[in-house]
Amino acid sequence: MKCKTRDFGEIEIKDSDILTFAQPLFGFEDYRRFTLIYNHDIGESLAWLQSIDDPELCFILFDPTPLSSFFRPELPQWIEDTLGKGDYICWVLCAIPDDIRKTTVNLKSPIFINPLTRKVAQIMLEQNYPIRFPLIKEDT
Amino acid sequence: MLIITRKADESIIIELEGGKGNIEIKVLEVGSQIRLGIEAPAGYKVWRNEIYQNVLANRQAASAALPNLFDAVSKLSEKLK
Repeated sequence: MKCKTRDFGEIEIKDSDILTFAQPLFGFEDYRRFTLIYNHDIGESLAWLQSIDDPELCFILFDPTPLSSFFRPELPQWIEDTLGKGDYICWVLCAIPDDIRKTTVNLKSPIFINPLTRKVAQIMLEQNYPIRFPLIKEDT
Repeated sequence: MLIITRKADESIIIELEGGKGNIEIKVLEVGSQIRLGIEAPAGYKVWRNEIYQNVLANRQAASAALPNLFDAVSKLSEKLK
């Protein structure tokens, strides 16, 4: 099927590329179907989470692996009921302002994808992580 | 901050000027936690504050409506290398 995107024009996606939010993004309860878009030049540390139903709605995701020295999300037990069994992939949402050096990521509420069921959930962790964590160190 | 003492079954009213509808917050149960009942006219969304902070962050993340977000993400990815 064709999918209109905000930043890449119209792209072709398969049914298996569709991710469904079993627990929606907070404040975006009406938007359930998204697809992940990678860009070859940018690599896989950042991805676009594009709404399939609204071309203008798109989030930038960051792979938090480089933060793993202090960012170790503990999932609630009920997540298996929501996403099904599997190995979940964790992403965090970026807020990119005009001055990109001030980009922050939401470590309090990451999203988890189950690649087997293609279900997604945004989970507010019990852990005390910041909602706006600066991604870029001041002096770079 | 306005501080008001209430017992169970008592409520407070927040009146919007101009008769546009009132919000009522009622204390239902008191204990180690309290239960509140909230009645608000259409057009108001009621959130738990900690969830609302994430709603604001998500809205901010979605509105990264830079003229060219792709360039911004490219630059961001350069900075992260």
